[in-house]
Amino acid sequence: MSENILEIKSLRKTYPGVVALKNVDMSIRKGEIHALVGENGAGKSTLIKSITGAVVPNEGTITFEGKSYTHLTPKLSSSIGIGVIYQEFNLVPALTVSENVFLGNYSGNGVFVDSKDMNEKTEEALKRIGVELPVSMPVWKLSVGHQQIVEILRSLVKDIKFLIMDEPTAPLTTNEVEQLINIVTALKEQGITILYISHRLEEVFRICDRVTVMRDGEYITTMNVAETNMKELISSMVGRELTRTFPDREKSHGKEVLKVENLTGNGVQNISFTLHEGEVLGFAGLLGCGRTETIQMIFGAAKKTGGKIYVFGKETDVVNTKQAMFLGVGLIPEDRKRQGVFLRMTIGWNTTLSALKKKLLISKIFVDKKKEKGIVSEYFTKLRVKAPSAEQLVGNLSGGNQQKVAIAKVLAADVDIMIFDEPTRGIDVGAKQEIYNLIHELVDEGKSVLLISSEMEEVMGMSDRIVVLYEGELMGELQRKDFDQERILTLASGIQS
Amino acid sequence: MSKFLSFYKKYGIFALLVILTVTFSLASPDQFFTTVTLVNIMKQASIVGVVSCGVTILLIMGEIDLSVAARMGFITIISARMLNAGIPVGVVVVAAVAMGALTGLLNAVASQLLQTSVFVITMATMYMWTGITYLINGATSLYGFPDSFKMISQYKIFGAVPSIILIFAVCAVITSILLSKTYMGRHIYAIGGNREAAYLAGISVKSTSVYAHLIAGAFIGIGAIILMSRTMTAQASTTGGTYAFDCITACVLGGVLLGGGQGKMHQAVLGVLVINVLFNGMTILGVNDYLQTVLKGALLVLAIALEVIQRRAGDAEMSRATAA
Repeated sequence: MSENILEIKSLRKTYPGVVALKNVDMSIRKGEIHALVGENGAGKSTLIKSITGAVVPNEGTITFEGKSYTHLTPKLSSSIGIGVIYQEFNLVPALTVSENVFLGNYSGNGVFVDSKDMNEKTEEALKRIGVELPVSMPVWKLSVGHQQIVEILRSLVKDIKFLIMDEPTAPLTTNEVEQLINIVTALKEQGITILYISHRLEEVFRICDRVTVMRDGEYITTMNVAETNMKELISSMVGRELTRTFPDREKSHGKEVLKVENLTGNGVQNISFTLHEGEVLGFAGLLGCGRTETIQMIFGAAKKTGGKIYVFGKETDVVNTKQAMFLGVGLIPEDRKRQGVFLRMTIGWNTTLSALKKKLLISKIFVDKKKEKGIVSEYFTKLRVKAPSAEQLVGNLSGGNQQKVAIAKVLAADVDIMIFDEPTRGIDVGAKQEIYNLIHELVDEGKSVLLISSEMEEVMGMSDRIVVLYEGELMGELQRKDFDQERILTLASGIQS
Repeated sequence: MSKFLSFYKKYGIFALLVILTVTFSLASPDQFFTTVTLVNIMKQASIVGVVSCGVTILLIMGEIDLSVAARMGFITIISARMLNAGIPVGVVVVAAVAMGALTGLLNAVASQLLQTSVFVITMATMYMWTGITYLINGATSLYGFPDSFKMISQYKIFGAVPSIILIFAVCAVITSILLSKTYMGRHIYAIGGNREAAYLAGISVKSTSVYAHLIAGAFIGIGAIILMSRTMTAQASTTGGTYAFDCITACVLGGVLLGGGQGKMHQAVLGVLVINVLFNGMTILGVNDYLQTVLKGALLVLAIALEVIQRRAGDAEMSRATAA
């Protein structure tokens, strides 16, 4: 059991402005199920992409079965026996199970495909993992769990020795999870080594032999699962003291501005919370826990199927974004470049886009350009956008300044409730601080903020209260005095404390 | 290279127009550079020009309408029959504009209900309007409209400027104002630039799109009327004409971005003029008709190539700036 199938030595990967992996060393033993855990942004994805060849590391080596590689390609990695199941499947919906299993690798004589042969081989592979599946059914008719099995089969028929599974249980229902766990166990019995990435720590304790913890792009530790417990694991995932200083401010919260009762739909259930004037309410949770989905319903970007939303005490079904903004709710979306700003337009154009109908109209048709100029320069100054002038294209600005323009766009529309979805993602440290200061200035002026953030420091440093979500459900609510990283991560992992 | 591109972006189409006009004037001073020919070119350009107003709005919104010619053909046949049935000219004109708007509404509603692109929907409605037109009328030409109808396009203002040119000018100015001075224009640019971001900025994408199609359709109605008034006939074969593609070619040549989000009305107008000067000039010089069609295609490829190069240059600049 002690022979290592995979050894990683001083692996380093940097992106402009970010170090994704800092000299990571780790090893995986032949035949084990090895868990890889860490918070969002810990470097797990970059690590597995380095192993599969999707990312080329700057430094370091990957040794697989005794042979060292400095840079793998997807083709090479697959030919030496490494397989991967990503969260997003790569299936062709119209093709059958066996056609997908052998995609790009069909049996046949070069002209005609030998379906019989492929079906037989697929059946064989299915037997190996103890699952039954109609091999000639088109994949789009299958459930998500079964589609995942098709992905697993694809690796299996290539005779892989090492399988990476990235959050395999995230899209599955409870029953499907049970089936997957059986499959993973069956794979292990056949001698396949598995690297299992999961946010669900119970699964780690159920099926894994060892667990490696990563944090902020660094390797932290590897433990035998049998010799550790949930508490120890979580504290090594968190591990750090809060270092950054967040501005302190006087807190006196006014009246209730937003109340959500049993909000259901868009992948979340029974979410209830309130937001007060001058308050920052943080939304914590792991990726895919339903935070963005929740605020989409409040902002009218997705339909709710149940529950009630009260804005300024009035119950309302927010049917679209236009209505949301009219009611005074604005969103600074998660994906700045794709959703937040218009890159090919000027700062000024972006700034007033949402405000046009609200306060810039002459006789309901024409834009008051003189007034517009005033508003643009007001927010250009207020948000301290660093650019030669407001005539500059937003695409030519740095990430932090683009985000300021996205904020200006919402502010100029006179909203009172501002939803920030990952406001500092992908922007540098200095700009982050500026965004934090801005958010504080805004709440001091009486705006109310919903803050979604995957950065523990950020959500704890900025919020007055935090609600924690897990798998579309609200796990708990914490007051600022009770903020505690381990407590939050425990709730975010779906464990009621 | 980038110097050339920025010059081209700003003045390229205007420079091209000047170069073409000068070239043809030198090559054929007694035929091309005459008031009659130049006025004629303007008159011809007016029909595609008016329809291009609508096409420009839709292109900027990121939508390509293939049903333009089919709807024009349909409207001309219905309007001709109304005229021949003795319905007053004023009523017919209003009906034509309404038909244009309503057929546009149909495209917008269908694409929203089926959640598919206008391109696909108008491919279908193009066939439908063509078929309906032939079902109603067959292949016969209609003519014999009242003289007052002729005056819509052929009245000479101050005894010199044909009214058809004025109609084109008015339509272009209205569109230009719509796009550059109204909130709806801003919303159209936003939707074409990035539909999702526009929706998240609180813009009602659906209703803006409906209004845009209504307006673009109205221009098709006006285009149909001036086409009939200029030729004083109506033919079902208009449905199979090249109006849809001629308009798109002219707009793109002028600098309206095929993918949406960028472009100005005056660019489309210049594009229309360039194409008309080019093809009239070539006809006067006796260039083979089929060769002209080949050149039209080549011109469009060139315009798109220049657009792509510009965009890549812009993106490269943006990513440099963002990384810094």
